[in-house]
Amino acid sequence: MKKARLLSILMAMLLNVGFVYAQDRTISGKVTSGNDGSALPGVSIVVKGSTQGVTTDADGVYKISVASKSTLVFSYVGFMPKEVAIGNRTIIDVQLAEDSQVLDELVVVGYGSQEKRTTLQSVSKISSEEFETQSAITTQDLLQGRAAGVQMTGSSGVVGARANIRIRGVASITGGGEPLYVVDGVPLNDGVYSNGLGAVSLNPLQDLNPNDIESISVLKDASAVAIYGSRGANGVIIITTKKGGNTAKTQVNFDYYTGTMDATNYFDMMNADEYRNFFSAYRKAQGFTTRTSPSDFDQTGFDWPGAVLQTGSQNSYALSARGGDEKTNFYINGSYLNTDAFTIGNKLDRLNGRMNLSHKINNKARVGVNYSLSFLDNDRISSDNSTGAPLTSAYLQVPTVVPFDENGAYVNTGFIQNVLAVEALSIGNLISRRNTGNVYAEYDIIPGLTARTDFGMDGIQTEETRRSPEIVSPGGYGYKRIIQDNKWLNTTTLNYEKYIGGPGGDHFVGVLLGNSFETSKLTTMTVEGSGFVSDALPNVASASTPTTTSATGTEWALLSQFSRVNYRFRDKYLLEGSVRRDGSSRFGANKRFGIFWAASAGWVLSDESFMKDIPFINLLKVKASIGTAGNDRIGNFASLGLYGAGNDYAGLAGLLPSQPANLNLSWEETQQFDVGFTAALFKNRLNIDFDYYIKETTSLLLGVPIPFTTGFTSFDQNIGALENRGIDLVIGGDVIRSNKFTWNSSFNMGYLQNTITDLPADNQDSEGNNFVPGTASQRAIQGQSLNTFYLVRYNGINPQTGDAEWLTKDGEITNSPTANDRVIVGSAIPNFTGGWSNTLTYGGFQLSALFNFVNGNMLMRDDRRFTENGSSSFNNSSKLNNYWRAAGDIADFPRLDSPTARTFAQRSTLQLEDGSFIRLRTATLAYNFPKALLEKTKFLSKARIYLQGQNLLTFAKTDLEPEANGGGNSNLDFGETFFTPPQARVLTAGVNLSF
Amino acid sequence: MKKIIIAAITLSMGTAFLSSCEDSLELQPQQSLSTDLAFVNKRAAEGSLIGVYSAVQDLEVFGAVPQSIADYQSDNVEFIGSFPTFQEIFQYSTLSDNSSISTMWRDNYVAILAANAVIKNVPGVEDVTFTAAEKAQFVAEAKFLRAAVYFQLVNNFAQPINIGGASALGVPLVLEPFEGEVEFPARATVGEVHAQIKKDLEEAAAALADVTYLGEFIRGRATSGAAQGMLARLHLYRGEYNEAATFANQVISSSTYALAPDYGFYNGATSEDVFTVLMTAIDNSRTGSGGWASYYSPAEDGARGDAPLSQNMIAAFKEEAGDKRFALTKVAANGLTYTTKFPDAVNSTDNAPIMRVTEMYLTAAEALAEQNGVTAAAINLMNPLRLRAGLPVWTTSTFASKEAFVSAILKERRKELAFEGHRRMDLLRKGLPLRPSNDPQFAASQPGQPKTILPIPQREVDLNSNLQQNQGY
Repeated sequence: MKKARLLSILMAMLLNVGFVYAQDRTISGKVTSGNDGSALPGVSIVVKGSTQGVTTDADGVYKISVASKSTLVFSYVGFMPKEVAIGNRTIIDVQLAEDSQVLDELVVVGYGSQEKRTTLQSVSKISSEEFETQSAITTQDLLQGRAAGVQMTGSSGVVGARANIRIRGVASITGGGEPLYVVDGVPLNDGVYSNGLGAVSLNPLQDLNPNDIESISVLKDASAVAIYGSRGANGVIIITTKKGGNTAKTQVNFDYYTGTMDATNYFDMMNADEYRNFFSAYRKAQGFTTRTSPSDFDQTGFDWPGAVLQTGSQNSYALSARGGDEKTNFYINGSYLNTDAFTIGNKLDRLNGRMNLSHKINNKARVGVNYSLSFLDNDRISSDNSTGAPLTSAYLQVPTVVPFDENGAYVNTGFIQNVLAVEALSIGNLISRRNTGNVYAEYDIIPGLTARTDFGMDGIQTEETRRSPEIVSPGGYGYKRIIQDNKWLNTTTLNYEKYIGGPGGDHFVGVLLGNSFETSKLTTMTVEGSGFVSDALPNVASASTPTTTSATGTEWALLSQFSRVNYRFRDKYLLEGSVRRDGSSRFGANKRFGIFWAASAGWVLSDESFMKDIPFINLLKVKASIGTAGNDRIGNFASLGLYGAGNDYAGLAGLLPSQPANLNLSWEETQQFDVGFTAALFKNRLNIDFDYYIKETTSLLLGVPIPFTTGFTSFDQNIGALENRGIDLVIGGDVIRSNKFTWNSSFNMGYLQNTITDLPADNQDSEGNNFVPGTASQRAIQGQSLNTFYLVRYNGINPQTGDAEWLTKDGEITNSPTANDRVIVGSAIPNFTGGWSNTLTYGGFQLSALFNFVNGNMLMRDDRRFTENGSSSFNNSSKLNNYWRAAGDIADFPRLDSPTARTFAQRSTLQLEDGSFIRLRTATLAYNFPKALLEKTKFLSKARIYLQGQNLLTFAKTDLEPEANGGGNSNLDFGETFFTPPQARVLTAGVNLSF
Repeated sequence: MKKIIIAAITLSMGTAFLSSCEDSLELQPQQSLSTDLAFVNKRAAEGSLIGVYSAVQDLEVFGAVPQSIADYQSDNVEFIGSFPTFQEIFQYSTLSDNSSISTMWRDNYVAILAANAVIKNVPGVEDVTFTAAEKAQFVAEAKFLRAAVYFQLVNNFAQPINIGGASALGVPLVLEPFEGEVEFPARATVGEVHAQIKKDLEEAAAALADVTYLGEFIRGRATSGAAQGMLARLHLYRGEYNEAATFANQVISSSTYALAPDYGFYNGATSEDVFTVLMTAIDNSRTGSGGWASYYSPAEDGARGDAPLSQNMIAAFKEEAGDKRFALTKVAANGLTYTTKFPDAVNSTDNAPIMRVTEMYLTAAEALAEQNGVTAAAINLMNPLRLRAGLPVWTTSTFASKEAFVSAILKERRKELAFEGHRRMDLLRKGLPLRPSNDPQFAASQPGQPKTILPIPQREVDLNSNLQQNQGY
């Protein structure tokens, strides 16, 4: 013990000996906020011109040894830095002024970061303060309503459902519309790692922990995305995770919230009495001879929707530590989330761990690692178009059917499954494990020139298990599939940044050179079997008949070189150019390499002498950019003509044509022009960002639908063009800023006009317009939007006759429309999307509200073809009780003996609704305990409690859930729903503590 | 200088590392072969032929959907299921965007195009172990399958020849594989489609005369007997009774086939079967969505339970007491009667009963009766079936007229071949309505009425302006 202490003292002396000679004075003091006088912990204090520095402790106190005549630089996130010459003082107390403007903050861009003041790229930045109290399950939820030009559609209320994100519109028809996600420099795999179970598959990014995120950058214009080359056309979302810092004291944070979840909206279906009355009357009127009286039906009744809906719960715990010293910084976080959704049988458990570490080897060399691992267990349900989906089946199940027999045992309810039995007895879950991270080394070759190499990986493994019991599938059924997608990449860059003639010089030059190689291999293993002795045997090994034993593999690789050059004159005249050359295994050998580029220019007008005198203008920058990016989201081998193996017959191995060849298949190229300005006015109280863009995609990667008489469904070609034109606008600032009360408000809006400008002439409708079919309700039509609804127009029920009426193509009333009467009736793509966030602060209280809105889109409610279908064998909406009975009735269903009662449910604008809505996405009331009180506890440095509600209010044109998208990620199937579970109304209470 | 060297080394190391990766861009698929490898030798060519059989296993080809759709149009079953696309067919309110019909059209052409590729490419395969006789066999098998699929298409999508004549619109005749040039074919006439079917079947029958297979493939692959049987059916549908009788008798006289003594042959690939599409638990029609049992078996067996016997069908069985074919049914939990011909709703291993020798007896008897009236020869063809069913035999004096005899044969045909995909065409080719007179759809089910045939899928009409839609859609 004694020896050890002696040794450590000796070590400390040895290490300090170099400094002792140089330092001759100790300065101490306290750093406080100029706003409210509270102590600021973690403020960085650096001796100017050196790397020597310390940070303040929890009480804002610091102590530093310096040479005389030094200058100290105090800096802290959210405050203006301050330089203080020490003079003769030994005690220096400093007040830092809050930095109400964000113009000096850094914005993360591709392969680097730039100052917001001088950047030429159109990037929406969302920082953790904006969402730290939001009980988000997936990362994409955080984007909703917070970034101009980013449309995030919550596709479904199923926990972990795939979100639909579109940045500045869809730039592709069949090539995928999702942005590229990059976490700490690692582009993420986002394939399909789960079965759809009646609807879209799960969100491939549900493993990410929102709690780890420091900031999200959404790259939008060409100057931002060109550096991502063949993957940039749909935009890029860069996620930066929290890092450590040079703090005197390790900051320990504990975050917890708990809450409830309910469905925002659901169908009102007939109860058993209504059902018996309606159907007996209907059958009698239609000339049936059986079941024409309510007494002919089972006299039982059961409330199926009531039995599958519940109040769910959510709990999240996160414990993190961040800190470090001059040499080593760290951030470590462990968190646990569990969610029980508002439909039975749908749960999620997630464990996340993260370690971010950086270390300075010496003044020139640095190494670091960012690493996260996750484990996720998702108890899944089917949804949408599945008879085993709790909500779908509960709506459609005839209400006279009961789930139990007289002994209380589950019964088989036939085609519409007994979903109570399914959820009680079946297994349907997905376990996902993910390792994502990178290790890097950086070396400063000369001042301003840094070399960096970075090895990253993203390994995801999902294990999907399904097991149906005897009651659902006689003999039982089992299924297991394991998917692994393992990526590794290397990125090497050289980055040079210098003001020529030293800091403050007129000319700034920045050059980035880099190359990268990235490859990913996906394998699957599937087993399936039937015939189990008992429901208690969960695994396929116990099945008598193994119906599937399969293993598959596929891979891709991307090889790239890229560069970005910046030049600024007096930080006033700004120029930037970038270029990337990508080679991808996905494209035909002749078209394997593509070059993407961007050029941009800007002018900081407010720095000109003629504007300097205008007092209310703090910053005015105009900028313009033009450039290209690509989209490579087609199959890995889409260019090859293929025969698929595994098309066997009674034990003989067979091959079947699976894909026609197109050796010329290549990139889809998007060219984007962007012009905009950034302004900060009235002492930075009002900030405006404006961008106008024209985004044209040519050589569309189009799975051109071809007649089935070719033996194929579609043929991948580079053909056609589309355009997205729009405006992104952000207006924000402090509406009220006083000592005690502030009201910060920020409004963002994206206006978008999507137009198909060119399509192959092979497919023409009766008006001679080229089109690509999407669903039975929508298609992409040249001259119209990508998601144009093309339907027969419903005209209502004639109050005099009780017959349902539709319109012919010419607008004549008809009782029997045909497919030739379809016309263009609207688009699923909204014209306006956006959000409005407000934060009101009074002392320690903070009230914030985020609204988001969507306007100008139509929503096809395909499910209404089932719930308003008198002749079906399902239950129906209670609306049908209001059928036509006498002349003058304004009815919801035709006269029961009308021939149109049988065809009423046919696809028409009857099921098409206005999809516009405004929703109070989050509303939060938080209380921050005063610092004075916390100081007394001696261990708490920050404490906040809050209450939050999500989706509390919705103003919509439809009576039902307006925010639903059953088509998942298909660009040709957008804005349609088929019993898609609604969004959840979430109420949470939480606490954030820092020690 | 040193620093510049470090910078240069960094970049050049990166570049050297990366250029070694250029080869990594040359990747090949692992579960597929490029098209040129699909016919590279005998083994691959055989795989491509087997793929055609796999294609006809499909749910929408010979996997029960087209057959059950035809049953929903006619009088053997009720539709009590919920799927709207089937429901509208049952209710005679079918629309052209019916997705089940669209999928059926698609999958039938997938099989046809796969067969076309075999027919075109096999003769040119360069492989010394691949004999001319084997090549001829493979081509003939593909021709048989192509003919069988075209026959199914023309029966479902075109007016029968006895109603619309040979010049009525049939289906597009595509006889070449797809090699990148998208064609927009118009519909050939029913006469042209029939002529192509006849040609393919005759060529197959001739080329397969000496071919034998092992085990169940005697009935599970195309044979000369299967081609003759299909020709008998074609001629019967065309009212060409002489040819129908000739081909049916060729099958009957073959030693390969024999009437089963009882009804235990279902799913057996026994000598009762002339051509059956084999289904096993690991490769079947199911593809996740069903097989023969899915529609015809009750819900408690794990099926959809869509198609119980109609009252009219039950009455037909009960017309003569003790009909053993009625014993091939059971009363399900919902109180309705279902066939037991296809029991496996879990693994869909029920073979598709495309052609049984019993059909040849019925065809021959009907063709003889149509030509010669009540004769001992025709009666003798029917009596083995009557005996097997546990019913009294017929004599020449049982029937007062040719019409009564033909009608009795048709009744036997209905009960014998129920749920095996025959009923609809057996009514239409005789000019009979698909539904009984007490049915609400009696008028709409008269021969020649629009909804007795299926619409050309709207998607196809939209994509191919040369395609003419059927009347009434």
